[in-house]
Formats: sequence, structure tokens, C-alpha cells
Amino acid sequence: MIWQSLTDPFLRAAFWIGIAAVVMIVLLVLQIVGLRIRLLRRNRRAAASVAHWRPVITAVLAGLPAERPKFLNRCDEVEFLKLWLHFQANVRGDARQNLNQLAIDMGSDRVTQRMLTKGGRGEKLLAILVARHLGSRSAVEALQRLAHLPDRLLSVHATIALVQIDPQLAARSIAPELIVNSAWPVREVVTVLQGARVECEPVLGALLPVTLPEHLPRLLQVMDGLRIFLPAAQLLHLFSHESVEVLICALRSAASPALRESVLALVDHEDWRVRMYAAKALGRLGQRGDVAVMIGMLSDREWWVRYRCAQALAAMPFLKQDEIRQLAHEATDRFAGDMLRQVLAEGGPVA
Amino acid sequence: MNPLVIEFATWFVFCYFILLNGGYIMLNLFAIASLRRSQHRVLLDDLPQAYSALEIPISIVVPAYNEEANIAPSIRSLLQLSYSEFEIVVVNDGSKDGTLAALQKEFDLHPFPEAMRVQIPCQPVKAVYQSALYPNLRVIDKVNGGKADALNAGINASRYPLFCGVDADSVLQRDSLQRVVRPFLDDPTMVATGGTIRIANGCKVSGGFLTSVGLPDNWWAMFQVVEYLRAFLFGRLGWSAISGMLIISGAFGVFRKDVVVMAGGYRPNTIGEDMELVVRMHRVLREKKQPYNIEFVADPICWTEAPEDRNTLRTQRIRWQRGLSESLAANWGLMFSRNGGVPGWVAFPFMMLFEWLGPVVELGGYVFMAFAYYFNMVSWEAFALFLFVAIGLGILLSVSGLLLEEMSFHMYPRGRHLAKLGLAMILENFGYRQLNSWWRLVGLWRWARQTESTWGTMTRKGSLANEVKK
Repeated sequence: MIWQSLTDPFLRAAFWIGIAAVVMIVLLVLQIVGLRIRLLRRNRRAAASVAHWRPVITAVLAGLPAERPKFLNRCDEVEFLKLWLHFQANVRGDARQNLNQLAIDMGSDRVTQRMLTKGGRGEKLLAILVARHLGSRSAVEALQRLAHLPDRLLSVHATIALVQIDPQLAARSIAPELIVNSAWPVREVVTVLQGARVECEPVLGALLPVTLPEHLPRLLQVMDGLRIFLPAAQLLHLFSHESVEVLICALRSAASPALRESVLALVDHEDWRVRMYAAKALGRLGQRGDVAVMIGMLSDREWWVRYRCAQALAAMPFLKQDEIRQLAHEATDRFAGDMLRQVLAEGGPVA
Repeated sequence: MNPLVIEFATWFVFCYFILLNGGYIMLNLFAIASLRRSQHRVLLDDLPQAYSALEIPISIVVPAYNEEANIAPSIRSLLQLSYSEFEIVVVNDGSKDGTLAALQKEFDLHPFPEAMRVQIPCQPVKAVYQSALYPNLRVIDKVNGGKADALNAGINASRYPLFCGVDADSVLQRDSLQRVVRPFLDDPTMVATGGTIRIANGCKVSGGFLTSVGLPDNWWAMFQVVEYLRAFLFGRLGWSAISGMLIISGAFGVFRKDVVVMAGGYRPNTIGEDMELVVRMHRVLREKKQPYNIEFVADPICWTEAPEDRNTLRTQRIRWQRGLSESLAANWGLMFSRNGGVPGWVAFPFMMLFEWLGPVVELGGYVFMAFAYYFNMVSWEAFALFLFVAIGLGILLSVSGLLLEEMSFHMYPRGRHLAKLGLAMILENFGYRQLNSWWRLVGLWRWARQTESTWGTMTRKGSLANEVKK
């Protein structure tokens, strides 16, 4: 045999590496063929499951009698729930009630419970979505546990489900934690808590005086996102805060004319974000006499300050479009004129 | 010749091949582990709108240079993408053909008095246009400055926190943005994600979208299908699994705008501007000790037309090798840097040793073995075994790429597709791979001579615009 004639260790090593490569190739090819056969079988099984359940669900939606098994077969569970969720996305009213009743009759509650505790990531998400649509109170405990997981996809959807099923509990148990958990972007916190806005108002309001300074901006941002407004007296207190983030939050929330002077005091702030939000706030609270200040801000070195200021000017109820056009025409600073022209073009139809 | 020299060279070439293929096999194992971890995605993908409420707005930046034939269908297809909030910024980089006219005619463009925010320096902008038909479509007409410069102009004009660079001649899956943005939703430290690019030759395209997957009849394109399987499925997926990904293809990648601006944007007058930016982001973020992540999304989401003739392919490969050289040379500081981590201590040296210098050693190995055999300095057994090992390991890597494809996406539905891919995996080892190494060597030489770089021109069948591909 050839390997017996190879006395050089280099040649023997090369020979055996080559042989190993060939064996691996054969094994991989066999695995590819095996995977393809398994895929075909799985697809056939899924197609059969959908073919069985689709007419049943369609009949149930229309309130017609349909022949159906008393409980879900284990191998049908995922396909049935997926199909059920797709129908959920498209039905309302009685049809949705019929659809929910079908899931309850088929024992979906029990199945989702099992998936929520023992399923893989995909099954858990599937179960969360089903529990949310069914308003399953029996899933609350598992959802609370999932809402605290570091897996953001699961925790976000578990929180949304919890907010929908029990907003009071969600506001009490989840909202305070989300305020201090910086792994959740504020935008997401606002999105998931949107359904429990009313329930969150007292909870977040109570947090305000006791929140640590490092978490105060997040709390204010979430309150702003949820449209939970602070009284002017409380906001006035925030205007003297040293944190830029807190100042920004205060400016974003400023809606009372009583705060106008405090806003004007920030138009020259060293941080451009503060100047930008001051310009926006002046757009809401400013008087005709403040237009001169805002024209000055149109020459700010920061693009965003100029842009938001131009938008704020264009939105002032007492300034007509012709006046803005005139301001753009008369601007001695090219950047100010350009910005006003852009904002005017954005506001109207393309000419 | 001294037998010691012969023995040393033999062992060197042999060890290099073993290390090279061993490295790729390790990447393959990482990729398999990563795919297994993400198996739940199969179920998630079937669920309705799991992420829609959380999607981050995206600006799609499309640099275009002499794309008159492709640009309108490409933009029409982008406008139909399934995503909650996005804008399209087309940058006409001083095209000499009718690119701008084609856009004006198709999308009813009107001049828009935009006060441009210049965050990254770029060539002067001549005009900004907005579509009267699609409010989320703007066209920036600027002085020619190259692809990197066009991308920088697009970033300056973009309005959203994420931007996505897309080649004007690519076809995206309708849900591609949703898929490629997911890592940003899962991880707040994510700064960039890249998607898989697949070869569209042989597929059917209708209404700007891919409707049926197939394989090309042309063997140049067929070999590239195999290469792309290897490069994306275990190359980038493997590196991504160990946080060492140094490349995000310019054809489709999403970036956090503030981080790109902080890093200085795309480097003008560079061929491999996509890789250079990613390597620089690694370097800058590691220097600043800022936590970050760059991830690869393995789902097939972007389809591109591959060259079908030798000359075009040759030009492309020479450019790619020059691009690689420029990217590595501009960021030597990352290699073995104090805070370099996997990118600096593993990925960069690997790239340098096996991708950058690879063609020198590979071709040198073949030439040396042939020379030594011809002059009776090595036995025929040694020569035959060298070929046996080199070709065997080459096929093994390609087959493992196909296994990953079969484990995950099964894009090629028919048994005969698998058989044809298998045949290509064997045949590419007899000439194509060696030719590729030669072209890469030429690229290396041209980089060393610092020949001027410009936009790449590629002979295309243009069939993405003509809807159906043969």
C-alpha cells in the first residue's frame, strides 16, 4: 500500500491529512444529504398541519361549526399557534373572540405555560405573543420572570404583554426598574409602557423626589415620552439643575408662559443641545419680542440649533410665511437665510 | 540547490497550508456554533411583526456613478422595502451619463434648498433634489470625488441615527432592513451590522425583487457562488461569533451615524473604503476604550450581479486585493495594540498573514513544488501529496460552507442545485483558485506601486434592470 512506502515523516503526515480531509468531505456530504431529507420531511409535516388547521380556523372565524380535535397534538402546536397569530393580526370584533375561544378550547393556555417555562427562545416568544393576545392572566408570573431577563427581545415582548394583561402590575413592578436599567434605550421604555401610561403616572411621579441624580434624566425623559407633564413650579426648580440632561428635559417639557424667562436665560448655554431645545421651547412660549433673539440663534455655529430655531420660527402662530420669507431675504448671515429657506421648502409642497 | 533549503521550503509551504486551512476550519466551527445559537430565528422569522414598534429610523445612502441603466429600478425596489421609517438619499457622484436625468424623469425631482450639514468633509454639492412622488427620496448631485466621498456626502445629508450604505446595482430582500437592524435592537452597544451578499446570476428578479433562486449557467459566476458561500457563511459569521469581524460589505451594511462621524467617515481615494472604515472603527473605539459590537447578519438579504467574464473578474479581484492592502496599511496601529482584543490580536494578524500575503505564499508554493519536481529535487510522491492535501482541504472548506448553507437557509431548493454546487467546489481547485491567487498578487503589486484609485467599472449584463436573469 502507498502509505507503507512513505518513509519520510513529512510525506506520511501529508498523506494522513489528505486522507482525513477526504473522509471529512464524505461525512459532510452525507450530513448535507441527511439535512436535506429532514428538511423535506419537516416541510411536508408543516404543510399538512397548515392544510388541516386553516379551514378549521376560517370556519371558526365565520362562526360556522367545524370538525376539530379536542386538544392539540404536540407536533401540531407550533404550526397551529403560528397560524393563529397570523389570523390574529388581521381580525377584529366577533371574529377575534371566536379565534380566542378556539385557542382556549384547544388548550393553548396549557401549551403556552409549558413553552414559557421550558421552551426555547423561539417558543418562548411565540407563547408570549399568544398569551398577550389571549390576555392570559395565568401567564403573568412567567411573563414577570421573562421581563427581567437580559435577553432583550424576550424581555421587551414579555413587558409589552404584561402591560396589556395587567397594566397596574406592570407599572408597579416593571416601570421603576426600567428607569434605572440603562441597557434599555429610553425610546423602548416609552414604547413598552405606552399601554400603561395612566397607571405609570403616579408611580413615576412618586419616584421623582427620591430618584438618584444619575437616574433623574432618564426618569424625566420617560415621563416626557409618556406625556406625563410636570407642574410649572416643579419644572422651574429643574431649570436651575446643573445637569445638561436635566435642563434638556425641563426645556422639552416647558409649556407654561411662566417659564419663558427661564428659557431665555438658556439661549446662550455652552452646550449646543441646551441651545437647541431652548430654541424649540421659545417656538412654543415665545412672544413677538423674542423673534430678535431667535434670529440671532439662526447664526449659531451648530447646524441643529439653526435648524430647530428656523422650524420654531416657522411654527410661531403670529409669524406669517411672507414674514419668514422676508426674514430669509434680509438675513445678513448666509447660514441663517439658507436654513429659513430649507424650512419653508419642507413646510410646503415641493415647488 | 542545497537540500536543506528544499526541505525548509517544503516544510514552510506545507505548514502554511495547514495553518491557513486550520484557521478556516476553526472559523467554520465558530460559524456552526453561532448558527446553532440562532436557530430560534427560524421560528421568529415566521412570527408577524415581532419588532416593528421598536425599529430605529434609517437613512439609506445610495452612491451612484454612471448608473443610468440600473438606478431607477434599484431605487423603485428600495422604495418598496418593508420598514416602518426610512429615507433614501441617492448621491450622484458627478456621473458622466444620464444618471441624474433618469432619476429626475422617474421620480419627479425638484430642487430643494437644503442647508447641508457638513459633518464629514466632501466634494462640493451642486444641488439637492426632492421627489414630488416620494417624500422620503432625495438626490444629492455633487462634484465627482469617488465612492467614499459620495458616501460621506450621503451621511451629511442623512437625517436618521442609522444609515445603510447600499450599492446602486444590488437587489435587497423586501425585509432586509428589518433583519439587518435587529442586532441594534438587541444590543445598545451595536455600532455596525453587515448582511450576507449572494450572487444573483441565475436567479429571477421581478419588480425589483428576487422571486426565484437559481444557479448561473456561466462557470465564472458559478465559482463565485461557491466563494461567496465560503466568504460569508463561515468567514464573516465565524469572525462575527468571536467579535473579530473586520469587513462589512459596501453593498449592504448599517452603521450608527454618530460613531462613523466620530471616526471621520469613509476615507476618500480608497478602493476598499468599506473594510477600511470598519477596521478604523475598531481601532478608534478600542483606543477610546468604548464598549461596542459589530455583528454579521447571516440571513441572505442582498443580491448582487457577479462578473461573467474573465477580464471583469480579474479587474474586480485586483481592486479587492488593493482595497485589503489599503485598509490594513492605514490601520497598522490596531495590530497587537494594547487594547486590541480579538480584532487586534487575532483578526488583523490573520488577515495580514493569510489574506494579504496569502497569494504570495500560495502561488509561491505551487511554483516551488512544480519547479522542485521538474528538477528532481522532490519525488513525485511529494508533489502528488502536496496537490492532494491542498486540493482536499480546499474542497473540504467549500463543502463545509455548503453544510452551513444547508443547516441554515437552504436557498438552493433543488437536489440538482446541490449537485452543481458540489461539482463547482471540486472544479474550482483546478485553475480557478490559482488564477485568483495570481490576480490577488497583481493587486498586491499595484498597491505597492500606489497606482491611482478610482470608482470601479464593471461590465454587467444589466439584467437586474431587465427583470429576468439568465
